[in-house]
Amino acid sequence: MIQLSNISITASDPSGQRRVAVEDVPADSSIGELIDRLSGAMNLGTSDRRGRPLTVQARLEREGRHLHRSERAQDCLKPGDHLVVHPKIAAGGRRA
Amino acid sequence: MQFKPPGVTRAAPGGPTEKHFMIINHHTYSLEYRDLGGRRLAQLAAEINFEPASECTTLAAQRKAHPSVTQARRNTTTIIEPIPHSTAGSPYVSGFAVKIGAEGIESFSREFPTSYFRAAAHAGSAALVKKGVMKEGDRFHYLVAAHPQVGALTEKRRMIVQQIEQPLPLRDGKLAEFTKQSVPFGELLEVDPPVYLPQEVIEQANALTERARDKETGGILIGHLYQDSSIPDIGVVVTAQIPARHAQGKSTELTFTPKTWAAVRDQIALRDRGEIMLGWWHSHPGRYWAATTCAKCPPERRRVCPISSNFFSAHDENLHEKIYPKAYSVALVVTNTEEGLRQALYGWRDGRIQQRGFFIQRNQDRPLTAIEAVATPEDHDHEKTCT
Repeated sequence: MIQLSNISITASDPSGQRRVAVEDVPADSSIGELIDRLSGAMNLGTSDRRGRPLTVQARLEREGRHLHRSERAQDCLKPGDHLVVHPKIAAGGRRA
Repeated sequence: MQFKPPGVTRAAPGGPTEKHFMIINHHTYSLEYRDLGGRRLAQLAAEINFEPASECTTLAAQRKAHPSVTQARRNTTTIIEPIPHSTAGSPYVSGFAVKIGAEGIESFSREFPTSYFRAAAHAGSAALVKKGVMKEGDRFHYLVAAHPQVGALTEKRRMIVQQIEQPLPLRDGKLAEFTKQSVPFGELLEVDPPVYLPQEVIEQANALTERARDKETGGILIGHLYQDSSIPDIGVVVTAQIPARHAQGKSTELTFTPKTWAAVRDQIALRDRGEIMLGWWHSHPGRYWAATTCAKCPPERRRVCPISSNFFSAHDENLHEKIYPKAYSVALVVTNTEEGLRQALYGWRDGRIQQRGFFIQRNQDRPLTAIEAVATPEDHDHEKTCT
């Protein structure tokens, strides 16, 4: 049986103002799990101001694509990869 | 005073040259609500985001070229410490101090008053209104209390995430040269780093606002940070705005989508000028709101109506806080009013988002038609419609 090792990567928020190092991403973890962890570390939160769940995607810079939450780390990430976390976030004028 | 960091740091991906930082806070905070007669109404635990205070302190040190940020070779640490209240006694505090530094380096600190907790106090008061402890519109006082964290659970995580300290991408330059080509716009305060916006950026934002009519639109402000070591100070120099493609604009909402961020990043890479994201801009179609919501109001009343004036809404603050935490970040708001387009700039000051002045870099070939709009962002008056 092949022993899959954990992966270490870096990630940043959409503005590039926050940058984190992520150690020991379990090879069997989902990208959704990784995104949730990164959203917390980057103070993005889990919901918007109206209480709706925050939609967050991660873009794999090496491939220039957004990853699916269901993808497995071992299938799409390589050591040293960089992800950019992209939330769907609203600004707003006034009470609708 | 030399700094002794209390934390332990680990090696991490990126190699030995990568510096990490952490915010250390050994207290939890609560807010005690009192009516105007001093009667205690309730006490609520408060989740406080200390990142803006930390960033504000860091930028203040960077602007002064303080050793805590210029000489730190090792991982830097930010410590949040409550300041005991001089009369109310423990556990009440009159604010908190943010101390930054690295081992063996002189530390830099700034103090923040309890007004920093104002947004949390407002959020808590809304919960108390729901519970019937307070009525909508009741005025109140709040006291802030700090409680030492005891026996905090150390959660075992499947992966370890550490913040990486990023040195500011500073360019050398004379800020006086930028100021010479510019005209001041709004109230300029020493506490704010100077911001320079090209006239073209304002003209483009105006044109896009007009074109979007009754929908909100926006974009990202990009440019450079310049350090003038002769003052010393740091200036924020915007070079361009990138329209927010793939954003969803509605009458009262503008949603930046994952595709928007990806497109902006690609655009910056394509320009290949080493620009960074310095902030964002968006529009408020105030005259269209007024035409619908305030249709029955006479024109003279509409002119002074809060919803058609400039403001920074709670949603705007939320986006700025989540996406642009660095203290140099700014947000331009263009409001389409019945009297024409009005501009206002917002940015971090003392860890809170406030309206601020800036410089417009003039294009001498064209007249400048910017008109400042003065707003009171924290009161959210625009949400109090007269209907």
